[in-house]
Amino acid sequence: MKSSEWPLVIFTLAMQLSVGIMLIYDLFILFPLYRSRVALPMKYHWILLIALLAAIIGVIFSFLHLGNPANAPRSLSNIGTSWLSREISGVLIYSSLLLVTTILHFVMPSAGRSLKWLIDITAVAGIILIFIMSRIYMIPARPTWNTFFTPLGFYMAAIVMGASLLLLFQINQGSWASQKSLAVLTISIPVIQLALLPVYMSWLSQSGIASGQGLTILLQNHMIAFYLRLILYLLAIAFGFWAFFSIRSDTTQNRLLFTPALLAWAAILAAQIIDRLLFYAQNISPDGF
Amino acid sequence: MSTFGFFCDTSACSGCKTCQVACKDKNNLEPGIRFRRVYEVAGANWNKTEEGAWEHDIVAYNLSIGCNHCEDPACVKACPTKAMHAESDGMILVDSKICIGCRYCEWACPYGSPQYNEQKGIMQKCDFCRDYILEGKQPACVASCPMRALEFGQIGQLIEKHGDNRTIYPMPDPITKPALFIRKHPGARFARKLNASIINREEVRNEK
Repeated sequence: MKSSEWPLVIFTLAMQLSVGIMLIYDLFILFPLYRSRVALPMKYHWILLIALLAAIIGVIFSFLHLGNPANAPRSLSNIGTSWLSREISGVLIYSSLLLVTTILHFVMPSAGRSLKWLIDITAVAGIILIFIMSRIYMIPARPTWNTFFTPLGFYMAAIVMGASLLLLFQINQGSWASQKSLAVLTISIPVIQLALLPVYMSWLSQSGIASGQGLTILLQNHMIAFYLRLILYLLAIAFGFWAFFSIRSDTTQNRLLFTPALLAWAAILAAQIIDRLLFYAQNISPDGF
Repeated sequence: MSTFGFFCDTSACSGCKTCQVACKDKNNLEPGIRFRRVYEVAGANWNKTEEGAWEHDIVAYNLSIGCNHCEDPACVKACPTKAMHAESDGMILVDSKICIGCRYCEWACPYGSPQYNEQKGIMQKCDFCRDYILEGKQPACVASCPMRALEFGQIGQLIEKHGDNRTIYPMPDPITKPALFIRKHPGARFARKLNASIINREEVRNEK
């Protein structure tokens, strides 16, 4: 992998973490509370702040990827054909919505319930943003990226990073159903990622010279990272099960959940970083051109 | 649509890389940056004859590529700033004043033509030696070729003279309609069967 692609690793993961937090927060935490008409705990506002912080980190690192950041404002000039131009627009729209949502929640904490529609819109903007991010890589000149595994991987990264982080926020005040749902997501996404790995490797081996090289890069050039990622997936699943069975019906007294939830999140984050490093390591032109 | 194009006679190219050196010299390129690259394609195999003896098949040829100034350029579509653009005469040029150095054109091009200049933080590429053309001269690569394996000219004239073949193994499918016309080396028809590949990848790729 080229050293110049480290900023892209951090940018994509940070944006996907942010979107994952918003999506999971909206669907698995806010939605049940909204339906039950329980007051929103203040600590949930901090979730928005973490999502915003992740988005800001992502935006900063996106600039570090550029050779000439001074011209960055011009990058919206080609929305008609350039997926990169569309991505930058998407990042601006999503980040702006998130900033407004977060500010409104902190300025008017009592109005949190009535602002759910804004969180819905932000989450939808995030879903669209991840699709656009994945389309950047789906180009014929990069055969190893030009596959449905790319958007699938990006969406799964967002969901699992968001779910495992929010499980930590559910320790004292989350509902039993929310905790269980997030623990199930924390387990099931790494299981799906593990199950898809042989499918992906089989596709690489049968999809031409460049994709075959992608397999060589995975299994020879980055063998340690490849197996470390497998171990981290297994650890994430194990910690996820530990967390799942630590959830008690009296969730206000539920401190047993903290250690497994923290370990699961750490394992998932490390696995996603290695996964993304391996993704960029497979930046291969067709047939060596 | 591109007006000009290159012709490469892979049956005549000796792989001396004079074109590559002339291009670097003319454009004063930094180490690692190659607007023109000479790809060495080679493959071999052993076959058992009916008499039980072993004989070898071998194929080796060279392919010189600059920018193909494609009719449907993927780099132009990908560029977020429109720094990479098509001129009215079809030449694909990069405007260094507005390039952000995101390298997306480098990913999008199937031929590895846009080259990243790390010191300047921008993309650079072959411009057909536009200044030479305006003076009525040939591009540096074409003028320097001792084997006369390279030609530059109007697309229509090149097609009339050499035919409309725009690919040779292992080049990608010509989905971007490259303005590069190729006379195939006789061995090219065996190249796939012999699992031939580019054997000087480290040399031709700009890994910075």
